[in-house]
Amino acid sequence: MVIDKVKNGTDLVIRLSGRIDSITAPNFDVELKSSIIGIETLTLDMEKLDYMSSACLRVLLSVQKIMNGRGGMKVIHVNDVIREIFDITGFSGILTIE
Amino acid sequence: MKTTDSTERREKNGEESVHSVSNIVFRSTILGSVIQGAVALLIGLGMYTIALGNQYITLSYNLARSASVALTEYTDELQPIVETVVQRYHALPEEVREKTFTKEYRDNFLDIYADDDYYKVRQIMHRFLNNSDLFGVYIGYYDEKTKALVYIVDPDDNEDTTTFPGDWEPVKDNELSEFINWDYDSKTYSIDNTEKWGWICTSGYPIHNAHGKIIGFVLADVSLNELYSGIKSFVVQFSLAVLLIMVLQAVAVVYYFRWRIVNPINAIAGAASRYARDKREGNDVPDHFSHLNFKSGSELNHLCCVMSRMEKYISEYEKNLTDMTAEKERIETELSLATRIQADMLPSEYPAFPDRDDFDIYASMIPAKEVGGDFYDYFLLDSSHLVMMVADVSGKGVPAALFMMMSKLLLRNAAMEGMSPASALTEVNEIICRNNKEEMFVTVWLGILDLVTGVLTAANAGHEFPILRNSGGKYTAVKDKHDFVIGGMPGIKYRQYEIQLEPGSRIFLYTDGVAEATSTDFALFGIDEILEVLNADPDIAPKQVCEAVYAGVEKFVKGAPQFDDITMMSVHYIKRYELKEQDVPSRTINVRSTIDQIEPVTSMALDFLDAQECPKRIKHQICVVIDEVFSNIVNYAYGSGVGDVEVSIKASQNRSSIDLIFIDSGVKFNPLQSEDPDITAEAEEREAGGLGIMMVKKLMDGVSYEYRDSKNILTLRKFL
Repeated sequence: MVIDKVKNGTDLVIRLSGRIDSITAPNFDVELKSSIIGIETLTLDMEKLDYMSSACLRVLLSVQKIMNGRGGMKVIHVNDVIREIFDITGFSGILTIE
Repeated sequence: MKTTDSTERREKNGEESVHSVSNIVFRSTILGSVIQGAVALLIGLGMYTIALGNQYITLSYNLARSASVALTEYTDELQPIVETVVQRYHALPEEVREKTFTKEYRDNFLDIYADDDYYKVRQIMHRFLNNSDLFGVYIGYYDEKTKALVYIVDPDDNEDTTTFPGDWEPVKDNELSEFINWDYDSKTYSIDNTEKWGWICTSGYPIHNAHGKIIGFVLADVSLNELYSGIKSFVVQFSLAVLLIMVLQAVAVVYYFRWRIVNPINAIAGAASRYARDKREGNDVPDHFSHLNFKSGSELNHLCCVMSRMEKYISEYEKNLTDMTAEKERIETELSLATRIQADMLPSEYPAFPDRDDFDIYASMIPAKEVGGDFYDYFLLDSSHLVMMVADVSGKGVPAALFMMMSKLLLRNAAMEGMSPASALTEVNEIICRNNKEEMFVTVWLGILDLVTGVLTAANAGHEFPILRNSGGKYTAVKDKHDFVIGGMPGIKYRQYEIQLEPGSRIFLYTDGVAEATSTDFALFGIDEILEVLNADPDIAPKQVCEAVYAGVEKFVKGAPQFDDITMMSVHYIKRYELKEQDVPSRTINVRSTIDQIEPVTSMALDFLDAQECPKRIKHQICVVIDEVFSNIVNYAYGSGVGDVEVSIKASQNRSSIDLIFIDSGVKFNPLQSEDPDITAEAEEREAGGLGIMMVKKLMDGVSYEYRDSKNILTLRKFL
C-alpha cells in the first residue's frame, strides 16, 4: 500500500495504490485519520488500488462518519473489483462514488 | 607459381613485340620505298627510252629520207638495176636462194655489181654513209611474193658487214605490210634484235621513179646498243640511288618512330608492368602513371592520363571491394548465426513427447532464403492440452525473421498464460499493432487440443485452411472462420471455433509455401494437390506425412526454385488421454496463524492463478477472500494463541473452476452460519463486523464447511 497526499487549503486528495488488506489496514487507518485534521473535503483516488478487504471497509466507514460532519468525502476512480465489494457490502449506498 | 610464370612469359613476349613494332615500321617503310622506287624507275625508264628511241628513229628516218631525195635524180639508172636484181632473184631456184650471203650465191649477181650505174648510185649512197654515224644505209626491195627484203645497193666497204645485190633476209608480215602499204604521214621503222648486229632500228623512205611509182626503199639502220647500255646503266644508278634514299628514309622514320611512339609506349608498358608487379607483391605504391609526361594533346599523353585515372579508380574500387567483402562476410556470418538461432527456436527433436502414446506430432520448416518468415510451435500447456500454431510472416529475409521471432514469443507467451486461441490472437494483435511502423503482419493458425475430450479449439488469423481427417474418413480442408491477419489493424476481436475430434483423427497444417509452391510452368501446387497426397496414404505417421507432402511439392515444381518457406505440421490424435491425479494443477502452503502470513499465502495463490489463464478480476476477488478467511482464522481459531493453517488452491479437472481450501486445527467454527450484517443502514448506524464473511460468500460461487478429524475444513469454489 502506498498513500500519496495532495493538500490544497482545506481540501485533501489522497491517492491510494497497491492493496489494503488486514495487514495494511491498521496503517491506513492511522495515516488517514491524522491527515484529515482540519480538512473540510476529502477525496480518495482509488485508480491504482488493486483491491481492499473488509478491514479497509471498516476504516472507510469510520472516516465517512467523521467527514459527514464536515464538507464531505468522495471516492473516485473505482475499479470493477472494488465496485463489486462496495456493492455487495452496501457501501455504495453510504459512499459518494464518482 | 604456374600463373606467375605464364604472366612473366607473357610480359617477355610483350617486350619482344615492342621490338617487332620497330621492325614492322622499318619493313613497311622499306616496302613502301621499294614500291615507290620501282614505280619511279619504270616511269623514268619509259620516258628515257621513248625520248631517246624517238631521237634514234628520227635520225634514221631523216637520213633515209635525204638519201631518197638525193637519189631522185638517179631513178632512171636505179630502176633497171632493181628490176634486174629482183628478176634474177625470182629466177633463182629456192635452194639456191637459201645460200644467200655466200660467195656461191653472190656470183649470180656479179655482173650487176660491176655495172657503172650501180657504181654511180653506190657512190652517192657512200656519201651519206661517210657523213653520219649510221650503222648502215642501203637500198632494198621488199618482195611480197617471198616475204623477203632483197638488198639492192649497199655502200658499206667492210666485207664482213656489207651486203651484195641479191642478198636477202626474211621479213616479218607486219613489217612487210607497213613498207608495202606506205603511209606518208608516219615514220616507218622497225626495231629488231638481230643476231649479227644486236639491237637495231631500221627506218625507211621510198624511192619513186618519174611516174611516182615506188621502186624501192632507202633503209637506214641505227644501232640501239648504245641506247640499251645507257638504259642499263640508268637502271643501275637509279636503283642504287633509290635504295640509298630508301634506307636512309627508313632509318630516319624508325628513329623518329622510336623517339615519338615506341619509347613512350615502352614507358607506359614499363609503368604498367611495375604496377602489376607492385599489385602482385602487395607493395602500396600509389602513382605509377601520373609522372609520365608526353607532348600534351597527343594520343599517348591521353592514354597516359587515362591509365593514371584508371589506376586511381582501381585503387578506389579495390578499397571499396575490400570493405564490401569484409562487410559481406560479416553479414553472412551473422545471417548464418541468425538462421541457427531461428532454427533453434523451432522445436525439432523427435519424438517430441517420447513419454506420450496418446498423440504424435511432427513439424518441419524449410526456409527459401537463409532466414525465413515462417514458424511453427507446439507444446503441452499441461498434461491434457496440446497447443499448436503455424504462422507465416509477410516478407522474407532478416526483417521477416525478426518479426517472426517477436510474433512467436508473444504467441507462445499468450498461449502459455492459458489464454484461449481467440484471446491470445486478440492480445498479440494489440501488442504488435502498437509498434508496427514497418506494417508487417503475420498469418496465424492457433489451436488447442484437449487431449481428454478431443475438443479442438482454434482461431485463424488469415492463415491457410487447416486440413482434418476425422478417424477413418478422408483428409478434408476445414473452411474455418478467417479473421484478419495479426498486425494488420488494432482492435480486432478474433473468433474461435470448436471441432470435436474422435480418437484416430489427424490434423495437417501448412503455410502458403506448400499451397502456393509454383512449378516451372507456373502451376500452383494448391490445396487439392495436398489433399491428393495426404489421401494417397492416409495412415502413415506424422513424420512420413510431412515427408510425403514435401516430396509431392518437389515432384510438382520440377526443379523450379523454392520462393517461399515451406512449413508443415502433422498431428495424430491417437487416443483419449486418461487424466491422472497429478495432472490436476494445485498448490498447497502450510503457515502459522499470524496476520503477516497472509502475504506468502496470497503470493502462492497469485502464482497459481497466473499460471492458469485467470482473469485479473478473479485474482483480486480471490485475494480479498484469502484476506478475509485467513484473518478470521488468525483472530478466532486458536483464541489468543497461534496454530497451524494449511491453505490449498487447485483447479478442477476441466479447468472450469478453482477450489480454495483452508484447514485449521482450532476451535470448531462454521463461519457460514454467522448472520449477515445489515447493509442497508445509514453510515451512522452501521456495524463494521461480519462484513468479511459476507463478502466471501458473495464473491465466491460455492462455499462449504466440514469439521473432520478435529479440523475445520472450509472449501471455497470460484468458476472461471
